[in-house]
Amino acid sequence: MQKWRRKQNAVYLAFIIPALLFFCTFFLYPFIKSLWLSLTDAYGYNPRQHFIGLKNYAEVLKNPGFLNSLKVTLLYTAFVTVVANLIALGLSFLLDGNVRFKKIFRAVFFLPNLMSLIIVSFIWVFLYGSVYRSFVDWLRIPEDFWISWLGNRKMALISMGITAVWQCAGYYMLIYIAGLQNIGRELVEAAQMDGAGTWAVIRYIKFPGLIPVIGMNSVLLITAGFKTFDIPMAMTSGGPAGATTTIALQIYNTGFRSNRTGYATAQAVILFLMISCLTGLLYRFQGRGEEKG
Amino acid sequence: MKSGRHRTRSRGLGITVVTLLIALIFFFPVLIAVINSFKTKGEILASAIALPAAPAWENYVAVVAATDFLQVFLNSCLVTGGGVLLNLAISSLAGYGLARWRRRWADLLTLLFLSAMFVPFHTIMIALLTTARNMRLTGHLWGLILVYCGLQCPIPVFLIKGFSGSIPLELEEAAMVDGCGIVRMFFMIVLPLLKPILATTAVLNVLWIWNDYLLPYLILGKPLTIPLSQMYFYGQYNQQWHLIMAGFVVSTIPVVLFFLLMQKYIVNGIAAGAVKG
Repeated sequence: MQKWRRKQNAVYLAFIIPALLFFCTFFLYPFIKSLWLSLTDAYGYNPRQHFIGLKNYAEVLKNPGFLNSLKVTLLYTAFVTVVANLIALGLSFLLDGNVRFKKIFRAVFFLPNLMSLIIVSFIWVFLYGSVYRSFVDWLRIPEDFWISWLGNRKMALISMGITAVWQCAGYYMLIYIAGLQNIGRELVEAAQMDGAGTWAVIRYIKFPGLIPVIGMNSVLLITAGFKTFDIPMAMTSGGPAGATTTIALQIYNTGFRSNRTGYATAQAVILFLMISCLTGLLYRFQGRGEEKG
Repeated sequence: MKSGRHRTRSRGLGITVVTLLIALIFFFPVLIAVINSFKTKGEILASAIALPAAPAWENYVAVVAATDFLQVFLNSCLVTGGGVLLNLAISSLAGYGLARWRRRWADLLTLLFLSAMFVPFHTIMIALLTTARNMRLTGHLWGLILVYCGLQCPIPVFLIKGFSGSIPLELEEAAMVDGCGIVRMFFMIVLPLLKPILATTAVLNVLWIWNDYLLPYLILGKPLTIPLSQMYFYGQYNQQWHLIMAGFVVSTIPVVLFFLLMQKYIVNGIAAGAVKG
């Protein structure tokens, strides 16, 4: 019997090995290598690197380019997290009510999420450029009131944020709809029986029931926001004058444009530390909120 | 009773109109892309919001030829299909193995897979590319498939492990008492039971790989997949929005069809997040 068990365990181990091999080659090894590279003066793909201690990290924390990208990323993430959450919540309340053609509406709101971010970005470049100009011409708005959507330092980040919200809101809406369906029908019906109106039901039953889901969506939105790359790369290449250069784009530029791979990896490790601290904190915070509730 | 029903119906109409208006705003960018893909260059210059005099189908013909669309589309299908299927094969084996292997090692390995979810792609990007170059994987579609297969692992392995744990052991033991080996039992009994979770992870990974830009760009270096080809085309045909928009429409149609076919799995897969939270 024991021999049989041992044989069985060997089979289970054999089942795990292929995935483990792939995982170690394309994730674990590059991850450990990243930690090492961030401590070296690696340049391009030159295999010769020298250990330079924490010099890269010291430089990152003093570098105005990196600090700027950190600021840009934080502002962008805050904007997208708040606005996308609000819109997704609103849409989910609408579609949870007695709307007709629910499935069609759900598909329409989700549609942008199916498109590649590259395509989404270019469509919005077109909207902010040609389409906006056509509208302005058509409505004969005087030039003084024109908005430079992507050319203005302050506006460009918001324009990018609007694009991101349009693309992702449908995704978070689906999570909220599922969350609303988890709230017992009986609870809602009982409240309605007691004379609660639509608003009261939303305010006192549906919204409190969704609080854990709001927490989770915020974690997802914040981590996605910190990793934003495609939209600024395609829409503005990080401009004007670095106003939309996110951390991910900054890492890319440092590593592949300036070829300072060691230094870029130090920035990338800092990104990793920020994201893991943030998610850890948020999950902890969320867990405590649930215990209280 | 009658008046109550009438009231809910009319209220349903009001909310439907509100939703319709918001849906129109949401749909506007897509509509603009579609309309302008049927216009001539001159018509777009004159106005980007007017309708075309006659649909300019020649835009589509030009784009399909210029981007070698059929080849690029097949490449995208190959990378997406290959990456997802290979990943499902190794992930289901590993997920099941981890669920059944009663050793402390199994928990440690699960934790290792799980911790990968905290690491952003950009953190390992440079080292991963170096690894891929050293393994001579760059520039090849199959190289990209192998890299995706490794990068996708963590979530499917974790989900499948959880799901396998809920399969009653008696079922497997009964099969083995009847003289069925573990490997055969896995394919005959466990795999069919895993179908729902496999379908869900597969469709979500399909959407991810199909639209991914950065990794294919780094690994392939040539515009071989749809997002790369669109990016390249945009650079080449600067300001020729009639062609660019036609390219966007053609490249988005396959994924919309996929959504319509797989809607149930996609919605369930995303909604699973709400239950987890």
